[in-house]
Amino acid sequence: MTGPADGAPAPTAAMIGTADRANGPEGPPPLVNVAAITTLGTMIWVGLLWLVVAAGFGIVVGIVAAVGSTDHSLWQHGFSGWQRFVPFAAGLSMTSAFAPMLVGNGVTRARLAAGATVTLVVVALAGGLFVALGYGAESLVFHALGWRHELSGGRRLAGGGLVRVGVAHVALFACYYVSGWLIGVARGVLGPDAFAPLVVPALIPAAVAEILLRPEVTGLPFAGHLGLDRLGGPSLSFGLLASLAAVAVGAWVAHVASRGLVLPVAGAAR
Amino acid sequence: MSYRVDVQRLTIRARAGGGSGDVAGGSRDADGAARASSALVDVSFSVEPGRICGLFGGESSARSQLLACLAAYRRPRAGAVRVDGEDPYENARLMNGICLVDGRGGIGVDESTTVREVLEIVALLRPRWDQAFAAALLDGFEVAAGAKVARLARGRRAALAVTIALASRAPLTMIDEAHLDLEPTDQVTFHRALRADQQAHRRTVILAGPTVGEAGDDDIQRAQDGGGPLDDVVLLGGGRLLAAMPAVGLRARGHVVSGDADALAAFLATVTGADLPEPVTGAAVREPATGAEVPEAGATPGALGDALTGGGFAVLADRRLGRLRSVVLVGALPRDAAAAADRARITVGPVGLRELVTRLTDERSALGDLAESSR
Repeated sequence: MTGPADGAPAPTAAMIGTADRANGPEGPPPLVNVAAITTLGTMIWVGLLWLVVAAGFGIVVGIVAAVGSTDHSLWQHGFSGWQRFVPFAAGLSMTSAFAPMLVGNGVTRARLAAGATVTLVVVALAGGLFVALGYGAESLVFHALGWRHELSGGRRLAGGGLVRVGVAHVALFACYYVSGWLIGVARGVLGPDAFAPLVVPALIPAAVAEILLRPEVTGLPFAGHLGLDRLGGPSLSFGLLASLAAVAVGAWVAHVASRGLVLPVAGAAR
Repeated sequence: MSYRVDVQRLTIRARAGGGSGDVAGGSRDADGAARASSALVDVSFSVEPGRICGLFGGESSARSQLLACLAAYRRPRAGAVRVDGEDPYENARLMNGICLVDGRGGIGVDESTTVREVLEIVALLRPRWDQAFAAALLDGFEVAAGAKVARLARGRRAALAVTIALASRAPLTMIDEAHLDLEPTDQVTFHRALRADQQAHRRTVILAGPTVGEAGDDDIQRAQDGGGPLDDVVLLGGGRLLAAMPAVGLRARGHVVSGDADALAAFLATVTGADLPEPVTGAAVREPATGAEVPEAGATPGALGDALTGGGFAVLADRRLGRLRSVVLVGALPRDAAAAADRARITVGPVGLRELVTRLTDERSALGDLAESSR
């Protein structure tokens, strides 16, 4: 130990040489380990929530079948529309839930961001699949019960409709996840008192998806009642490309901003 | 494998409302003004690789913030920290070899997580993780693997934290107070495990807290004559670095002097070169070279630092009971002090490292109320 002299000498090569660098692994843990933690840690509650949603949907369909019939999609109006807020919450909690655990155990912020990106892809894909499967299951049930299966505006999902719905929701969910992630990172970097002004720009990816993805495919809850799904818009392909661009830019910003994450310290304000 | 630690002119700003807080740059051109708004000012010290170092300071000493900088939790804005010669912040080579735990049971674990799940997560992230060692430690601490972290008592939670720290075998392992939260018997287990594992897997260890653990102090007296398991000691107080020195060296500077009040006063006047006043409400600090008393009633960090590393003396406690008087003194006594004490029928004995550290880092020192006085 060297003493308390002002301006301790910079370590020399001889000093550093006393550490045995050849003995033991160095470097961050593999991305697969980090991504496994962020993804499984997220999908545990997301998956549980989707199970509850699926069960609730089944119960509602059963009740409707018991008391009467309907030709309008229950899945669209009551169950799929608000699913976008699930990946939003997943992105929002990514930093607060995993940064202390991972960075506190030697994972660099850059690797944490890479793990969060993997989670983004998984959550978006799984979410899109979940929504598409919901429509598919509903269609089968309605068909079995002899009901028409109509979405708002009298549209019907036929042919590649399910695929279009699934793909659009993948993009929608990715955008919402990125917006949540950006807000979480802003809070992690700036603290709870200073991040609020960045909430609006952080919501740009979600706004891009809402505006440019065709509302009759990914409409907000009650969009049909409000007439929003009758508004014109760009083609789905354009909307998908724009949404993916927003995701890419948002994820890049989150990666860069994550380098400034500050972890809570014992005995200090968290 | 072990890392060298260098802290270079680090300044940590205090949060408004007291306590230590942000790591930030402050105005250092006016030293007094900087100290008024900073929990630590211009602190520099080093820890050699493979050493076990005690980092001591009160709650407002910014001790945890300093550790946070070393662990790359945050980047220092004034000054620098170096681990193994490099900035640890976002350093892909170093971060994995740095482990900081506190009493919360491993950094960042969710309260609903079980102990087993915590260890599984850490095992995924720490390449040197020794699961068998962790299991043995938890067994020794009687922590159930299936227990949820939220339901662990404070001592058990601390046991989980030190288990993570030890079994991670990080080249730089830092434990912030968790070892002090252990049950007394577990503290003995911890210190023995640390010493034994340190023999097989050399690393740099920083044990931080307001004081030395009870078991550590007793254990080392049996093992290597005082100093606990510590090789080195870093003392923070009053926003300053009080001392950074070998533990044995610090212990050698602590003395408890007891005897008749008049004889003791004369003895201290002889060995320190100045009159010692009657029991005081503030510490009396002497400068033997000039015999002049430092004007402040309290032992200032600078004066304490001089007593710890230079030729000065500082009184840490001064008690009186009738004609008997007992003074806890820090400073290097002259070689003939023992003979002089015998002649004056004064007892001069060592001070335990725990008591010494506790008194030196007492936050009252910053208020000029360090010395204890009782009649």
